[in-house]
Amino acid sequence: MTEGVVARPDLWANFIWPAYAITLVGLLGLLIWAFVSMRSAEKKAEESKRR
Amino acid sequence: MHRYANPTRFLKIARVATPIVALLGLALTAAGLWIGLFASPPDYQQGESVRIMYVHVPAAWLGAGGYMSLAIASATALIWRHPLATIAARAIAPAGAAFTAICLVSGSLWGKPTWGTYWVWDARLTSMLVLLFLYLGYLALSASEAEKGGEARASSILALVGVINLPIIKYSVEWWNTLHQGSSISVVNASSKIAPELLTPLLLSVAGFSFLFAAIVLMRMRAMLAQQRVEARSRRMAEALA
Repeated sequence: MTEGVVARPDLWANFIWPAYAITLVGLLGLLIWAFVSMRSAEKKAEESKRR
Repeated sequence: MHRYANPTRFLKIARVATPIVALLGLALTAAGLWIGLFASPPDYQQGESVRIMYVHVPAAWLGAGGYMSLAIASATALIWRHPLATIAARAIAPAGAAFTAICLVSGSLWGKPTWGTYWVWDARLTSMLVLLFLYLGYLALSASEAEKGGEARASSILALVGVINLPIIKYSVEWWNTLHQGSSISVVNASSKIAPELLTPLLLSVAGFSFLFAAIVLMRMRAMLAQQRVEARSRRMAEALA
């Protein structure tokens, strides 16, 4: 079902795919950045506590 | 409220809440966007391009709502000088800026098939652009304050001054003749002009984006609290050695 929708020219012509792609890349990028920075900061805090 | 503003107690709650909030955000966003793309009907006037609404509207609400929470956190930091409030404000700002940028880009892509142009200096679009600049200004100022180790006074004042832009965004479509359409959903009256088939995925996306926003803020707050612990320990060690 989705394959037909993905290839539909009207969804490309109306910029729906670019809008969704930019949004998802932005959201997931932000989520991954927040997660990685949290993990590395908490790891450093653990190490400094042990020292 | 003050009971939960204790950093140790906050961290205890945040460690449990972060994965739950993040997973809820991912699931609801996926459901909202999936239904919006594949199961909801096209609009009778706008056709397929209405599907951009499912990413544009939640991003716009969170861009503006995020700024309101940034201002509340900044006011709390200024009045009660609570360190957790400053950390909350600094955690909200990058998420709010990103959601505002997503709103502007997706709105611009929606504008091309609907209005025939990516951008017009319309009151709603311009006030949203000003909101992005306010977020960027706050980020730059608070980063410089954090680098100097000072209190977040100037950035908090900037956040509070910027609140004036929120009613301008909200009422811009009523106060001026704009290309941007008027509001279709009223939170105050709990009413909507949108058909239920289109409203359901929109509300799912709004809920999903909200949980994702909260998860990002929680993770950033945890990261900043961990950094503060490291810096405090290094300072204590340096003092002990001196």
